[in-house]
Amino acid sequence: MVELIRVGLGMPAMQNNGVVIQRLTNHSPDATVSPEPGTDRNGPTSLIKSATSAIDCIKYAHNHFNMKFHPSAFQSLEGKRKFLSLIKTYMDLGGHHTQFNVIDANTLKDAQLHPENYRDLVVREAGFSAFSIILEKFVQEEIIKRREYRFEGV
Amino acid sequence: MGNDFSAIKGYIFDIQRYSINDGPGIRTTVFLKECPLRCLWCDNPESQEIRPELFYFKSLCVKCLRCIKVCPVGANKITNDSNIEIDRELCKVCGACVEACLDEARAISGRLISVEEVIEIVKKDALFYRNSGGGITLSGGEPCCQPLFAINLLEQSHQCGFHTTLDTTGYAPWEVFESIVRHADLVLYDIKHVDPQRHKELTGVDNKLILDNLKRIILQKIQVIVRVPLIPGLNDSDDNIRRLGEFVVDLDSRIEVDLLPYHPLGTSKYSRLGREYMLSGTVQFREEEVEKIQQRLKSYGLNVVIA
Repeated sequence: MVELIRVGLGMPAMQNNGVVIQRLTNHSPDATVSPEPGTDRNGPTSLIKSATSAIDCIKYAHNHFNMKFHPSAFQSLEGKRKFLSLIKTYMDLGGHHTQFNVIDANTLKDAQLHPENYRDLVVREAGFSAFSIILEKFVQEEIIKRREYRFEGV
Repeated sequence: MGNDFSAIKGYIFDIQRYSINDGPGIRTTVFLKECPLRCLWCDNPESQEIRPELFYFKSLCVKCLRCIKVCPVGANKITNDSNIEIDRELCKVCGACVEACLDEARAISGRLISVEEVIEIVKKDALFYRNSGGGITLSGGEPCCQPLFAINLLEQSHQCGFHTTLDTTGYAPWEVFESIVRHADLVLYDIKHVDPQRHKELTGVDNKLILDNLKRIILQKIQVIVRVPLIPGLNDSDDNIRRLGEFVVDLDSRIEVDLLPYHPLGTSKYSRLGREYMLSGTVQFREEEVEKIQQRLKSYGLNVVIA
């Protein structure tokens, strides 16, 4: 672990399984261990492991971590429990500060207009996730519609 | 550990970490290729054949024509309306165009992988399984099409202490099915239609083997969740729901039944594979309609969950 961090300090960003962790990049105004957009391609569990391996509480205080979620992740009790177990694991692996985003439909609409800005935008389809921009238009529409319905319902 | 069996290889088309709808907790789902069924609504058309297949993401393609230059058999052509067309008959899925593509508009779905390699990936999330009550799920395709691979995956997972789930159509000879199922802690068992004739029309095979296998594993006290993909107009009739309720209650009234309402989200995959989607234009259920079916099945005393 110590070795990994030392190597990381000498490089513009830290790589772990293809995930580029933001610490020490110019894009990282807020000392995070969050991924460089577009490099987190193996889902939340993989991301948590990469992030926790880059935590540095001593020298630069790179220690907090952002994640984003689809609102449906929080609908059922089961979903909330799974979410809690993610946080628990993050803490077990040495994390102590993490925060979450839940994407809204407007983002997805904007992604339809400007896909080039959204290569990393993940949507949850049905039990699996996909990058929003590679889905067909009507599937994107479908997800946007469904999302809005759910927001009205909440 | 470390026995010869871990070198056994099988064809998979995906390993999905953080899979949360295929059994309890946070899981890693391994999708095995090949399936004896051809369900009209199939979500994973790339799973049906054992051989790897080429995906083409039209929306990512910038038409740089590199794929046309590198293809050794000339399977890529430019059409009159300046789109790129793939001759799937000619294509050998060699991957040259995937290498050449700078925009990741092409990918090969399906690869040969050893049990050991899969287990290495599955192990990465061990702590997540422990904190959430999760584990490994074999899905597909039909995992029972590659029995040796499936058995060894499940066995090795057990050796690592992971909970194992098998997501299956149940369509396999009993001896084969039994040898796999006994390594599963939970079986997600699909019933697509109760009527044999209708089942054949919708999926291409008779359901006798499927229902028989289900009866037998229930007798063996294996934990089963029955999963029903609900497809509007195809298997949601009053008659089918009634027969389904009666059939499951007759087996064991404690069985959980999960309803999976139809969604058209797998449709993109058909166009990526250059295939036609048979159910285009199918209208999704309204929430009340699914709840009505849920209530009807509940009236048999079953625990029915909408997934």
